[in-house]
Amino acid sequence: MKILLSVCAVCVGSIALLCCIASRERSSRSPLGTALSKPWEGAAVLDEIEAVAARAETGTSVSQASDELRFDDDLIERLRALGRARAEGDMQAIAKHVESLLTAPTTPRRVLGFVRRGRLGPGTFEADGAVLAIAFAAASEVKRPALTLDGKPFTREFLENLGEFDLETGMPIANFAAGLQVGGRPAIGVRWLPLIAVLRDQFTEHAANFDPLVRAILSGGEVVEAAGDVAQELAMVLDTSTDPLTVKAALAILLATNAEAYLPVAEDICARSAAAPGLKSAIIEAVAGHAPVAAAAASLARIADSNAFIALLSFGARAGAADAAAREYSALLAEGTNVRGRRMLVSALSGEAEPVLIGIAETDPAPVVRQQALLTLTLRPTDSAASLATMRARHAARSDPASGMTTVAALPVAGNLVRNGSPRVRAEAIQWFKNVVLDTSESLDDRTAAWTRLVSQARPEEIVGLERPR
Amino acid sequence: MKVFLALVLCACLAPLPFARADQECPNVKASQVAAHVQGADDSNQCSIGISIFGFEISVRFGACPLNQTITPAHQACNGAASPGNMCVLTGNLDVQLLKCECNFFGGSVIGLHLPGCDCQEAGTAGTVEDFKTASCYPEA
Repeated sequence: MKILLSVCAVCVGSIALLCCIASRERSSRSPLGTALSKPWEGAAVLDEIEAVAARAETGTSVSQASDELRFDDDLIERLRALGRARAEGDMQAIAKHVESLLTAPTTPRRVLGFVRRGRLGPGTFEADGAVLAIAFAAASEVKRPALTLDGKPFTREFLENLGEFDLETGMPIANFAAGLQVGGRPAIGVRWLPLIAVLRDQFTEHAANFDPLVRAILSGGEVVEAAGDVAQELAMVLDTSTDPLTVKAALAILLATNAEAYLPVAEDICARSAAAPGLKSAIIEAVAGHAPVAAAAASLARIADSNAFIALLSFGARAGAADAAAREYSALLAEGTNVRGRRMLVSALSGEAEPVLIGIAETDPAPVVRQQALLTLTLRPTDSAASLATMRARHAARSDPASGMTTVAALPVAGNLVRNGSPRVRAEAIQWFKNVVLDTSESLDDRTAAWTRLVSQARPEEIVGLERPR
Repeated sequence: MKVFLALVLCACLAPLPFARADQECPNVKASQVAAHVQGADDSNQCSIGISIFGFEISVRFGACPLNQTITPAHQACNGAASPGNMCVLTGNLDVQLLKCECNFFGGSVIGLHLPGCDCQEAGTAGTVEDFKTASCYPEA
């Protein structure tokens, strides 16, 4: 009989809960764009969920406040146990506690409420437990939609709350959640990026809370496309935001969805961002990572500068990107234009065969592109003498700007060979450095620069008897 | 009189020396760019697995990009206005490449504070131009 009464009480509580949520959400439920264009009103709904949930789980009446406190205490104790398990690195215990906390859809929402109301002291086991409970709740929804309540995934509620948390509260949860992956992809994956981009733009004061999630999503390798209404919302974000990561996230989606329309927008923002290097880098990274490779190569040749090597390296690793970069390079070379663009495209060719990069180093009319070809080539381990031979030949012709390479330009190439060459290549590169140090036909500045590099890279026994030039 | 008027007209039409110089002066200065480390978007998968409700969730150890670059502090010519000045290239500085790998040792495997990433220098990925500000009229 007692069991029957308890079941009835839980059912009544659950129905009350669902009715309450339904009535609250009828007025606010709408597509992503409209819902996010106005301030979020979910906090009050969550408070109500927690209160009703606590009653529903116990079957007690509304007036029994002391019971509610007791059940809050019970949940805090469970979070504390999870926090302890985490500190001890006990994976089995972590899994057991997490599963117990994620059985009912209301429980992680109550935890979210605790965090929002500051119920859990900072640095305590229960606070640590809450970080894991919330993050794993969001992650588990990838495979298990049981935490969805009235059609609203827990992850959505978590993200909406994250916009309101101060950084001290939100960042640990975001950091941990960003590190959770299911099937090799971020658990809070690309489907949430449009919402995150809009929330970042809406809650600018706490936008940094979303940084770890955005970075995890953008590095997750998923195709980030968006439907029309979402794209419109993101285009508005792009129009108004100057926050680099927000712009990068919005642009990543828009470029993957419709590069033809948004590459010109990206380039336009880039052209206006000379005084905001962070924003410019964000745009270049979005183009390098998310626009179709052929269009991206052409665009990068126009907008990338020497602060964008990392973006070009990543671009070169995308499927088909090296070919696209090589084609764009050849087109620019045929036109005899855009030295800066040619140089940056060559920096993306780290996976190209040695003869291709040697060919560029020997034939490109611009010294800076010839140097870049050899730098790109010598970043990988090598036993080949070809790059050193080419560098020596270009350096020997240094008096001719059309085909030679100055000593200053040759030094970092030789430095790469010392670092990445086989013992034989390394020994030859060190000998080249020594020759420059001793060559009185070189300027004192160049000989000193060679000496400085040699001292920093050679073993003491390799430079015995050699002195700083004077 | 005609000759005098012609001379006056010529004098008026001839550009003054400083005006001609001003047209050639770009009126910009070099802007300081702080040294910065940039991590690639593509990252190593440094994680351990935990089974929740029968499916595996990987817990990643912090962020560990495949590559990082270190760009030294330098001055760039970004078009910042500065009457009577111009940018002058002083040389090139190395942009260093670091290659990174997961570090599975040390600290709690599930903790938030484990760096989880060892980065080693891989060489010079490229160079960045370093400018300085110079007067367009050094003799003035």
